[in-house]
Amino acid sequence: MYSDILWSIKTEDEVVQVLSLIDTLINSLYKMGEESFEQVVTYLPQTGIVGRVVDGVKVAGSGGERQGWLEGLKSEVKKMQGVQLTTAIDIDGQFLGELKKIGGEKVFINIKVDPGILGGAAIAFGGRYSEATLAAKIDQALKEMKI
Amino acid sequence: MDWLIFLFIWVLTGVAVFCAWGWWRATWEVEKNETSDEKVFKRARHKALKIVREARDRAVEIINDAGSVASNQDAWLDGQVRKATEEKLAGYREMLSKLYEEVKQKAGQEMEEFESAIEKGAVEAEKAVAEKMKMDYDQANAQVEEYRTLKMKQVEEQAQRVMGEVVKRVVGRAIPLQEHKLLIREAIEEARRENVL
Repeated sequence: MYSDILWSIKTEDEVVQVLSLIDTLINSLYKMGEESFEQVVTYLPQTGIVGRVVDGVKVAGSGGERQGWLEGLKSEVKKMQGVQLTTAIDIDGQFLGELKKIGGEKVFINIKVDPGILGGAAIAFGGRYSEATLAAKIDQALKEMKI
Repeated sequence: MDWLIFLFIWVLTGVAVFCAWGWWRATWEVEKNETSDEKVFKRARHKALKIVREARDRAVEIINDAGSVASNQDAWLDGQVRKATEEKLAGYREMLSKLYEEVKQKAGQEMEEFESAIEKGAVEAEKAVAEKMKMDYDQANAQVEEYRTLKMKQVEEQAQRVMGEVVKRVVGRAIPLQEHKLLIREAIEEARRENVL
């Protein structure tokens, strides 16, 4: 039900944005006038993650069903875990999507750029750490060569 | 009657004679007694004088004897003291002589032991010095070796660092974007293999 939205959340900023959106929509459900759900939705962009969330709420039904749907989404988004990815270059959105596919739908990625690692990436997730950087590999190779 | 007078006279005369004899007898007795007492007294005095004289003589004799005995005693005592002193002196001399011999013997023995100990000590000291020198030499060698190893390691590390920097700069500039992306994908795959993801 939420898979499409979860796959589209790639970064921590997007997680915060979605959680904020969910709260705004839940608050708007029981208000009238300019602050009502229908009015609020018109202000929101209809594309990207926001568009997907708004579409999802609309499809869910009305009133309590919408709230239930939004609460469920909120719960799922809160369960997402962040991967700390340190890379030598800045990563564009498309490549981030590719990385998200490798990581899985319940994972978002925090990118940190460190040119010192030369290439590859250092990954920290759930208290575990993996360093597959070019700098580390060169250091290891030089050590093994005992230059 | 005449006869009575005569008898009376006679009796009277007899009484008078008797009285006179009695008086004479009493006087004689008194005189005799007096003489006897005097004699006894004289004899006693004489005896006493004699005793006193004898006693004096005896005392003089005793005193003389005492002086003589005393001088003899002194002489004897002196003799005894001298004898004892000589005996003691002889004993002391003997003891001193013995002590001297013992001390001499012991000193000689101690001296020998001391010389032996000194000799032994000198040998041991030489040995200890030699060992210490060897130990110091070994230690110095070890320190030099350790320093050499440390320096070599530092040089190696420095060379490695320099080489690493050079390689990194060259490689870092040389990697194209696609290659970067490939490396990142590989890193993520490696993290999945290591169960980090």
